[in-house]
Amino acid sequence: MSKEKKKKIFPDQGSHSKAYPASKNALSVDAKFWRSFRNKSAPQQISAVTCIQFSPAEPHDFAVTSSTRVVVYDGVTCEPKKNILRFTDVAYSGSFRSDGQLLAAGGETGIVQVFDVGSRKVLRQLKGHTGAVHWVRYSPQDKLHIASAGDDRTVRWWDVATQAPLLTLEGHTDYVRCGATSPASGDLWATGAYDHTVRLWDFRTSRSVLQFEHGKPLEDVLFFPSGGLLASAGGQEVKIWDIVGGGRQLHVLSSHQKTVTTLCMAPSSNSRAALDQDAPRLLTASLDGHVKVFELSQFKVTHAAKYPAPILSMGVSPDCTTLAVGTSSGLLSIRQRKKPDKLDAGTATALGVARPRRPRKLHPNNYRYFLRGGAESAAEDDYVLARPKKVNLGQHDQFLRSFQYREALSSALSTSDPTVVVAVMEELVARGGLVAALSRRDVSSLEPLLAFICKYVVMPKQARLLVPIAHQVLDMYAGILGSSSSIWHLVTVLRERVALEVKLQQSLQSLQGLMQPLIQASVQS
Amino acid sequence: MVRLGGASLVERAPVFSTDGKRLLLCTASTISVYSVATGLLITQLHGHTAPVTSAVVVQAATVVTHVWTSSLDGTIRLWDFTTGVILTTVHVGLPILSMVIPDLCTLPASSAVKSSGSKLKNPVAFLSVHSTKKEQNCDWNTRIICFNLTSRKPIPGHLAKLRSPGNLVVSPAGGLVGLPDGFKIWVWKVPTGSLENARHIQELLLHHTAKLLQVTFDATETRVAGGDENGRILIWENVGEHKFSSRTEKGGKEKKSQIVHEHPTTNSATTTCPGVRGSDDAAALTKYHWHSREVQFLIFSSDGVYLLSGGLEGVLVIWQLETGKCQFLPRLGGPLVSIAASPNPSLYAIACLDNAVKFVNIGTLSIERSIQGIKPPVPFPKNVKLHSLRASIEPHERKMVLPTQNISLQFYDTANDQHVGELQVVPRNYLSEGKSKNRTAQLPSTFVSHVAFSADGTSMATVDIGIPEQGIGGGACLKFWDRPSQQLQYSVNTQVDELHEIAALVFHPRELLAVTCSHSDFKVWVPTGTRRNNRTSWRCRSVGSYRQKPMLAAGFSFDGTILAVGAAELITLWNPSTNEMIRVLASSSSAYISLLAFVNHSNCLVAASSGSRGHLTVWDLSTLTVSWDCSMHVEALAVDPVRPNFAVLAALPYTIKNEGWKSIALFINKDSVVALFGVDSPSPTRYWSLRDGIGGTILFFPESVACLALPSAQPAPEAAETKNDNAETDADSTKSTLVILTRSREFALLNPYDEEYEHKPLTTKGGQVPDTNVLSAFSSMYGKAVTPKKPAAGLLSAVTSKAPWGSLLEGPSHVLPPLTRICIPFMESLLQKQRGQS
Repeated sequence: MSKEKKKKIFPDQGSHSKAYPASKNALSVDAKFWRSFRNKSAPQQISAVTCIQFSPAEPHDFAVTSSTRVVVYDGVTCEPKKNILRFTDVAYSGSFRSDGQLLAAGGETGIVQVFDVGSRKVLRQLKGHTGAVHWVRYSPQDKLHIASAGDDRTVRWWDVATQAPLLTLEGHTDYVRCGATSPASGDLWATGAYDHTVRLWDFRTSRSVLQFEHGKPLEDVLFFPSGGLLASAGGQEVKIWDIVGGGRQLHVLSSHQKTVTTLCMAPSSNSRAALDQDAPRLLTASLDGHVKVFELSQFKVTHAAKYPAPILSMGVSPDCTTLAVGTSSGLLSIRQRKKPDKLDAGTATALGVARPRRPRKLHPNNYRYFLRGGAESAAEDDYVLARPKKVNLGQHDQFLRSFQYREALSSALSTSDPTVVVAVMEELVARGGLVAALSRRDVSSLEPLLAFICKYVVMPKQARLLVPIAHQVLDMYAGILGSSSSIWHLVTVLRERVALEVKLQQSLQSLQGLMQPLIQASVQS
Repeated sequence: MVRLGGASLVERAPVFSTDGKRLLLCTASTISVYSVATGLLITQLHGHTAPVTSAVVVQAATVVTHVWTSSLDGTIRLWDFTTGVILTTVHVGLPILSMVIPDLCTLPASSAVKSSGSKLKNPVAFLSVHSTKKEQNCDWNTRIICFNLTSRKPIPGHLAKLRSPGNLVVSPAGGLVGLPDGFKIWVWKVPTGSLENARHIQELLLHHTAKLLQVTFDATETRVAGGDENGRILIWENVGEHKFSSRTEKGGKEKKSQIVHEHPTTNSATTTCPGVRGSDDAAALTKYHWHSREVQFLIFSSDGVYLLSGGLEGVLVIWQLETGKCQFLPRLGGPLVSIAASPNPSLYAIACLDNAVKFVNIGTLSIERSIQGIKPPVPFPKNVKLHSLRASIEPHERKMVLPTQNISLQFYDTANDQHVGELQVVPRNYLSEGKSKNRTAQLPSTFVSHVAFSADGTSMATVDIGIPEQGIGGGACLKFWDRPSQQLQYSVNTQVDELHEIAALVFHPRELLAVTCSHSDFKVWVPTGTRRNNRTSWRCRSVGSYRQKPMLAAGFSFDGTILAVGAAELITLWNPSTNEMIRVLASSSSAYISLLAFVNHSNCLVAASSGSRGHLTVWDLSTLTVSWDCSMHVEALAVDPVRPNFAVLAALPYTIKNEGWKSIALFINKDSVVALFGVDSPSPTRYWSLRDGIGGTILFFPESVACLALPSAQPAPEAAETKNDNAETDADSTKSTLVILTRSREFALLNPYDEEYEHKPLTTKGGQVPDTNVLSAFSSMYGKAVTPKKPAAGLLSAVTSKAPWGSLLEGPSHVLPPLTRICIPFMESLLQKQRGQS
């Protein structure tokens, strides 16, 4: 019989974390990208957020128009930077100049005002519209012209310096609510109006060169980065038009349940591609509270996100790091993702000659000095004596090792990682110590436990373990649940969640009952 | 031919031989001799008819291979354990519970010849016997008596009458004999002269406040150590210096003077004896406490400096008696039960409750080697309703697989009665259970409930079940294991958590496809490749259920085309490849079907149910009718891989209605029976009665891999016909082996078609032990026998006669003709031979 092998001291004590089966539908690249946007802040505005415009210049501040004010948010910190309050009535469509220094905004009064973002002074007032101005844009090519449109059914082209209208374009028969400039030419503009038409204007000829019938009042129009295609949003549909082909309708995207209010292109045409694949994405937002992302080759939805209120406006920063969504309830949701690391290695080598790097002399202030060749890999013919790797035990594992079950559970709960907590709970069950770990907790240690149960009790992966635990906890602490307001709140939340889940299950069951005869019938026929 | 095996190695304490090269273990009614150097079985001593209770090795310079053994059959035998010959048999007439022979303990200090002569004159055995006499007070039914082994007569009188004594212990020098008995310890002084009456033996008692379980003496015979049920260790110093010395005044004078010389100030010391209770004859009492539960063994090291103790914690504790400090050797794998000291002062043999004897080196605190027997079964908690796994057979290596403690599977070679390997299904350490009021809390919380192997042996599936704590957690976990290499090394391929319950687990006989049955449905598992990497993992391919009935049993037909699943009292037949239900079979029985098997080479399906309304039903699938059935409590079912027969392990007695069973009921009144049935008739072709069979199992060894590899074109009915034609020749060609395993993990291997049931001891494959230094009694006494060398003349002549030139060159050289004459015939003879060869 062979010599006894030395056993590992605690074979099961490596580290506790529960491995769940991998989700069947793995995240696509798009979903991963859009999920990487984290909630940055959600400031509440006074009233519905009607327009969000990003500055084309770094650091891509954005102007949020809501009620009688335009708030400029910092593009990095997403904190309010400037408040422009110089409006006598409701303001519309605050948008930046191409260098981000000036900001133009329309309003209910029919006057287009130009502000200095730094000093918030009114620099120019462009008077001429006879109705409310809902759409104002600076010309992206130069810093001197503004296009505006409004309820007086005209589109005007202004010279900012002289405050004089250069063009007054008439043709729309109803309120003009949206417009866009072609990335291909600064003179080609498209506007959409409530008369169900999109008109293309050439400001050199001062007349409508093309006209599409959308079929619904237009809410937004958007040129594709190439300038050859145009997307128009009106009603529940987004239509894609081929401008070069003479206004042919290419596609109809109808994946929203309510009126589509805003279109965005991410990343926008003039910035470097931020998505992993270079193809830009079309973002649509609708009154049904959904933001959907379409890829542009097949026009398929690659990602969707739900917001709690009807969406009126949306903006994506040109570098595709910030996504701001404004809703009719006045909630402004700002999401931001980490900026990708700058890929300037190539530029660095392009600049200078690549110097041969000398091996750095090891010095005690260097980390490698302490490795002392420990990271060196063995040569092929070396005989490797493997030293057992020291297992880095988490705190909960150390508590489990010393049989401190309650502390182990508390420590696992503090990680707020369900895989860890569930693994520790299962280990405690196997050792017969879970009830002891749950018992005799005070308010401060019961709170995280209840919060965890609240959060995960309805999750299918954890429910089987957590439902009996919830029963046990409620039985144990039935007498003192009311003594603390926070505990009471958690118990109420728990009850609500469970009630909601029960309702969902019931409706699912009724649906299943409904479908079973249909399936049976289809199988038999 | 029946082969038996799987006895417990640790029922009794192991004993080392005098030279320390062999270890003797009492294994049921035999004594097994193992080699210390290799840990392999050398030989077994057969002769006793009841369990052997003690073995006492004769300690003498000349005789190193003799052992006295006592048994419950009331005999004491002297063996030569190298040859396995019984030298002497002494009939005592009463079941012997334990035996010590103090006279054989010591190696004589002076001349070997003289002392051995004196020893052989008068060896007196101290026996603890179970008196069968009906007395008024039935509790006091154990006596301690002395027995003269030379005259083969008991010495009149008895030393003590006891209720439930422990084992007799003798001091290393053979001067004292001790026995723990309840709250006290008996100590007897072994008389030096001849003994006429047992009353002349001096005795003393040491008292304690808790029940004492163990006693041991040190080499100087002044110190006595006892261990109690609470884990305390008590050491009495200078035991008996007062009493034994004063009593020897009357008996032997020379002894008294010795003791008085050694302890000149005894009288003053006895007045102040700290810790000693009452009038116990001891100078001082020291207590040590580390063990939390019963002390299972105690032994002094040979120099008397250390005391070794062990208990149910599975930790060997080494006490330094001067300071009271202790060293530990933890993680010995299970509760420790007994110890034996070898002549090598650092080597000890420790018996663990998991049926292992481990050789522990005290100097290095390491386990040098271990002898692992078949592991004991796991106690299942009563509140968990499980059809507990008893055993399975690994088809490739043909090893038996048994679930054991610590959530492990033991691979056991039944042919050689040898431990092969162990696999822990869930990584978990052995935790000694503390004292708990709640009895269920002491049981482990995870069990292996099922194990099954694919036909090619490359995949294994196990189910382990966690017992929930107050309704929280628990549940079954299904694991699929891979065996990448030819060794018995498995690695987890897929782990499926959060299953509710699994009542049955079977593999397809041809393909890699497994079926699990749970309480409302069955699932079919297949290995599938994943997209990301080329690793295959097991996934649930399909689920089937029948009217939400509990499905407790499943079985595949031998070609794998039909899957039978028992749904409550019905049997559903499915097509495993399409998951289509083919047919439902319903019988009159209302008991839930717990076992299902297709009988090979026939169209029959056997369904069995356990419980009070248990039924055994044989279905003919060609006509879909019940071929026959009878009512019995079926514990286990096994189908012969080569014949249309099956074996059943059934519980008895039951009201047996069937006519075919009547004759059996007359013969057997034991608790279970193994019966071999043909598919045609309900009367068994053979049967074997089995003690302790409930909770056991029966298994047929599957066809060997070579048989499986043959093309399966041979149609089954044809094979059956040939069998009917000449059954005898067929029986020789394909042997099937049946394993009968009892609840206490003893097993019998037999060919159920063999007519003669000769008991044959297990083959000892590893018995060729290299240590040739051990001398037999003869050779040690007279030296090595010189075998005279046989003259090799015959051989030489044979060689010459075979030479091609015949007798041409025979004769002395001076009579040979000149070489010129001989040369030509010589060369011709050579040439002729070559021509003949070509």
